[in-house]
Amino acid sequence: MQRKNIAILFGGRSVEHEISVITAREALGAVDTLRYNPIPVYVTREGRWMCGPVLRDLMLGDNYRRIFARDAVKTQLEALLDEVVLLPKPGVGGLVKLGRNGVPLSGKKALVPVDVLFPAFHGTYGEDGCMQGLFELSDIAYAGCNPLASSIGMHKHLAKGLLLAGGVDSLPGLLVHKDEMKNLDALMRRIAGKIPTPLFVKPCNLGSSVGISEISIVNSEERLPETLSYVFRYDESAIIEPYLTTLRELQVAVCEGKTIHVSAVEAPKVKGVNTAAAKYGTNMLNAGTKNVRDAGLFSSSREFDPQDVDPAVLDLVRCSGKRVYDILGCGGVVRVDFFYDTKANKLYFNEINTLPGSLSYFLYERRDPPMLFTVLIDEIIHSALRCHAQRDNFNRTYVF
Amino acid sequence: MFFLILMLAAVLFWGNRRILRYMQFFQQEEYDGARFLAWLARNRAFDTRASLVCAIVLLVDILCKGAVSPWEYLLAGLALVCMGFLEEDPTRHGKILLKITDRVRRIHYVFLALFLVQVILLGMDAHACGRGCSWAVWCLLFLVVQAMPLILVLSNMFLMPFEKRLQGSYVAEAAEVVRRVHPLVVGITGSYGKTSTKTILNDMLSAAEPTFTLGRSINTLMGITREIRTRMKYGQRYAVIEMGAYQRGSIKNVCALIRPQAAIVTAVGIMHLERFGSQENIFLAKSELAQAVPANGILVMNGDDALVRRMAKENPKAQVYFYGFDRSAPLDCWMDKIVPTPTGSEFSIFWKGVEYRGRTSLSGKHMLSNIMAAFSMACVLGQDPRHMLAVVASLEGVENRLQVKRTGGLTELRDAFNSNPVGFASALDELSRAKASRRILITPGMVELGTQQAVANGAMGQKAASVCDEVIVVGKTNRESLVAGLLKGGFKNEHIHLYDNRTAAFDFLRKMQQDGDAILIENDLPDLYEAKTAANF
Repeated sequence: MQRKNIAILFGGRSVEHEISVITAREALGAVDTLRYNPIPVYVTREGRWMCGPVLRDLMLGDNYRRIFARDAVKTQLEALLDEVVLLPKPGVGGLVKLGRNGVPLSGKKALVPVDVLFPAFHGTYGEDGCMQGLFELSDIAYAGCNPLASSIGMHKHLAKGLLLAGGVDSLPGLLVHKDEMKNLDALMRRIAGKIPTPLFVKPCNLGSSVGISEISIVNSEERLPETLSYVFRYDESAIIEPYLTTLRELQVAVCEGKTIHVSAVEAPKVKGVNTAAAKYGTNMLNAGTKNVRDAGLFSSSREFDPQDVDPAVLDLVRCSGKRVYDILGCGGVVRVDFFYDTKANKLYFNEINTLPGSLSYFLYERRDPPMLFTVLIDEIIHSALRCHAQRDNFNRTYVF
Repeated sequence: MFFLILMLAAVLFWGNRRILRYMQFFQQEEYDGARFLAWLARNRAFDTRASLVCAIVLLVDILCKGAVSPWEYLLAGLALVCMGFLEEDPTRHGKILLKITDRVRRIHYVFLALFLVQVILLGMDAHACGRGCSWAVWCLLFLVVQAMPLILVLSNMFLMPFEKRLQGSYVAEAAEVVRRVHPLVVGITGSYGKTSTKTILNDMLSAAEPTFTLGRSINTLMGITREIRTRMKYGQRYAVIEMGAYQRGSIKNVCALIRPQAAIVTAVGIMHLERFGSQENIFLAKSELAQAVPANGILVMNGDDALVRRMAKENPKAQVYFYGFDRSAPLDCWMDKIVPTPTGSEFSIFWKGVEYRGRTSLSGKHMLSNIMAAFSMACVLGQDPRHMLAVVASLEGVENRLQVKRTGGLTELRDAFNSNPVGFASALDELSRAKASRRILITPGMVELGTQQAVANGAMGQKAASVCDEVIVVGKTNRESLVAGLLKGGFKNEHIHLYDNRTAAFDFLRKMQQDGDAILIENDLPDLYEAKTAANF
């Protein structure tokens, strides 16, 4: 059987650019090369797509950080790679190389055949549905969530609202738009007394590693404007939630392949990872370092299926994770983050990562029975092909 | 013959690699031939490597009684190839990297053409004189090598008419963009504080409306032109433009392009005195911005600066506002009740008689002055004062402008950007306030202050003597005046540490630093002032 060409796309116009490189590197190392031919495709911070044999060697080697290094090194690297583009047109069957003048080349050699597009982006333009929209137009099978699930997953407030309607609880929250700051008095009147202090302020659309710091916890409404204006430097809307010290963060990954796979439950621990967290004696600020940890840099601060949490709660987390996956209509692997209120014994949905760091493989490796990263990728690709075939079955003509 | 050609190829190879390193400094001197040659002379950055090769071969030649053997050529050729490989790639090495722009490419090509002609002439000469006077060949090669910087400047002069025309078309294109996008343009100038003010004002205005701003420290006509052409977009309501003056007329040219409706002048000091000649000339150069603002425009002026006040008087506009600390003259915006906190300071800011309470993590009194400048402008433009103060409170430090970094028990005050007397003094005040067991200053002193340079550095040395426990003086440019000032202030000689270059100074600093120390890094000078040690020619 001929190997399928899997284009692993990473980097992109996002603040989580570097984390994406690490995710892609791990995925590249885990793909079953007997069945698949992985092709790394690096999207630069400026949005140019680059690929070539050198990239694969570099990604798998120790010097992979050179990919996002200083200008000069990068220019040299880019000179060795081909710039490619994905055309928003069905039937091309892959990426098309660009000539020096930026115009797509023609002929057989200009095509990089791709059977499955495998996005490994995090954050803007890659995880939020933009890429997925382009994938749809190109009519090539792609891994992960569709545009709708991706964009809802990115918008924390919308996701909460939708899930609430589906019966999954979340903490009350207020959405504030940047433009409201221009009339600060009106905004403060709107917020006043709605949510008990202390408050937690976070960006609505960004990956959780951005814009969350010690300033995010607000003890009095008086300090709220400056925290909001800090967040608005990163995002155009912010969410204000109550800040409870009794919350514990629990995360679970869900993946649909031949069947639905639910992973082990992770309870992030904090040990001097974040000074703010240490200061406030809580693990809620975990959110701030989440993706860094995912990348395997803080592997010591992870705890799986924690003993001190009631097994019934862990089961509830797994079950709710599956529900979230279904309600939002996800694909591929996602990670769902919950807050468990230890005092009130209640579970709240916090947020969903439709393209989790490292594809959450470590959550599957700790599961009982464990599932290897290679198998996980295989399942994701399987579901990508299945979804693509299914879309093909729709009747696209209708006689009025 | 074969060996001769081989050697000439080696000369070309070496020359091609070497010239890019000269180009690195030529670019830093803004392609100004006179300034570049002055830099060359000041740092004695003449070639030694290829000249050494010439000298050795010449010596061999003389010893062999003038018989040029092919082996001489081979020897010189090999040596030059080795030297060529020794040349560092300036796009990857050095504090300020060489940016390969189209202009650099053009100068490079013209240079190579001229260099090739020279090398061919050299070759013909060598071939012609044959065994007769071979010493002349080596002397000529020596001259060719030493003339390289001159040829570089010459190449640029050749291209000048073309560059001028090209620049003119770029500026016209940028002016067209400004005309179509039509943002409200705020021009900012001043001898110091303009970059910080620009950053703060940009943060304030962009919190409210889409705002165009220039990249880090871009303030020349061509830099601004490039930024406007590539980054100005429809929908940008404001444009905050920082303008630097390196000579009379440069601000006027920028103003003709951007047509500011509002202006902030932060100070008229003695920065770049060596380029202007007198403070009056600096005043006149900065006044060009105030003149460019239309009669119905807005001026926000530093009321603490007598010359800035004079500028406002000479250039009456519909709306003129003063900010400052010194309330002996009328002010529209001032600060009071400034309370230092562990993370910065809290203050009361008055705007049109109303008191607002604010906080900031930016340190230094001059930073508070910059905040007032930006705050006044934002309020004049109709922004909510409380919203603007919320932005100020959320500001993180402006990079390398008295930025406070705490790592472990160590406090670092980084004021690495182009230093000036006010900023330096303010940084020393900040250092004296820092809770620390030892206070360490590392600085090469201030530059570009013309005749005032020695005096100003001496005064800072004297002030530092009362604040610091250890002082590390980098480089030789201001060594004498700094040390003299320190000693005058009663500083002990054994606490003064002298280092010729930045690397060695920082190595020493990293070794001596302990937990509990506070370190002030004042003025990290660009390559130009330490090239001799950073790069061997």
